[in-house]
Amino acid sequence: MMEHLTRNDFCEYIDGTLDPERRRLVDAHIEGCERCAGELRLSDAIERAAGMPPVSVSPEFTDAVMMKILAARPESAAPRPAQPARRRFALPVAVGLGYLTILVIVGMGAGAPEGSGGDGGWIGESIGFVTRHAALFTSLLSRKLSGGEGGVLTLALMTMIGIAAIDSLIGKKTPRGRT
Amino acid sequence: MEKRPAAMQENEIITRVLAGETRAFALLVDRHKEKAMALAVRMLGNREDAEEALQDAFIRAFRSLARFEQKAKFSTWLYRIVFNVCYSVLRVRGPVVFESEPEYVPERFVESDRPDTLCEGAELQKIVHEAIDALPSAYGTVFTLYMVNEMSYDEIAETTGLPINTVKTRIFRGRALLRSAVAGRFNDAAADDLMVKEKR
Repeated sequence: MMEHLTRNDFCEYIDGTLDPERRRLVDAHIEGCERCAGELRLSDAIERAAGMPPVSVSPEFTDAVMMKILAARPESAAPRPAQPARRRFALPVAVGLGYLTILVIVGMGAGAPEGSGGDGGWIGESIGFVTRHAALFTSLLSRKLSGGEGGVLTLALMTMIGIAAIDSLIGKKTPRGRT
Repeated sequence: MEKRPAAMQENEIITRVLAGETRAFALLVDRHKEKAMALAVRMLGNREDAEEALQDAFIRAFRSLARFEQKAKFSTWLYRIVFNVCYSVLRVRGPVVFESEPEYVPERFVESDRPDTLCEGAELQKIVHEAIDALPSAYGTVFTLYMVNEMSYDEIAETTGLPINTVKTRIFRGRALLRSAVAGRFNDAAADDLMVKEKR
């Protein structure tokens, strides 16, 4: 005959997680051991009591929650199903790219030296122009579109630094004023 | 034929809410408020703060309902929100000691700590919950998530950020502590009485 049940046996027996072989042994043991059978019933009673919610909630609670929800949102408006990320970002990305293209074209026109195409220095000026406007635009767009301003502003700053780096690289390759 | 609200499946209620029937959300609140309240009270220690946190949690659940993947149980998802809201309240109050490990509890079975006087039903429940209240806070929350909120070890580990072995240990020791604490309130004669009644 097996020894008395361990605390672990009681827990796993109540949870129903004892492996079948061990469970058969435990069942056989408690058939003949009043001490373990009693302890098991007691543990079970305690755990069932522990599983009952200890506090009741006021009857007005549900109404209070619903009033707050309805005050913030009219009856007809349900929480909108989440849009896929691709769709969520499609518009801002398209607008941003469109704006960037326009800036590049305008910037090239603004920076290009009159009547000459040979000097490369205007490229640097054009990129500088685009950089400043793109950074400003991105930061404004981020404020408009979401609450996560910090993240998007960081992105804008990184974009600006990246373009500035390219700008300086091109500037070095095509130094202004040198004949 | 329109189903009675009580008989409505949870995913059906959620679908209705998402379709614009905001008031159907009240059914979910009614179904889960008591067990969710048990968790909030266990974490925050008083009813007023718990009720406020719980309102906040239900409102957040409503707002995020569209992100709830119906493969999971709604209750588990909701209790995670309740846990996070309460955890935020605790962080505002001061250092959260949720991680601290209480002193070692003997795990062996002790026959002499059988209950002394026995009672059943509401009184037993009251005594058991007083004993749970007296558990170290690190045990109380995990224990409530397991016993009342019926979350699995994995779900508790994911919700609380604790390693799964810590979760298992705390539940196991919490049970041992609870058993000993309740036993201290009773006498052998009445314990035998319960054993006989339970056996019937």
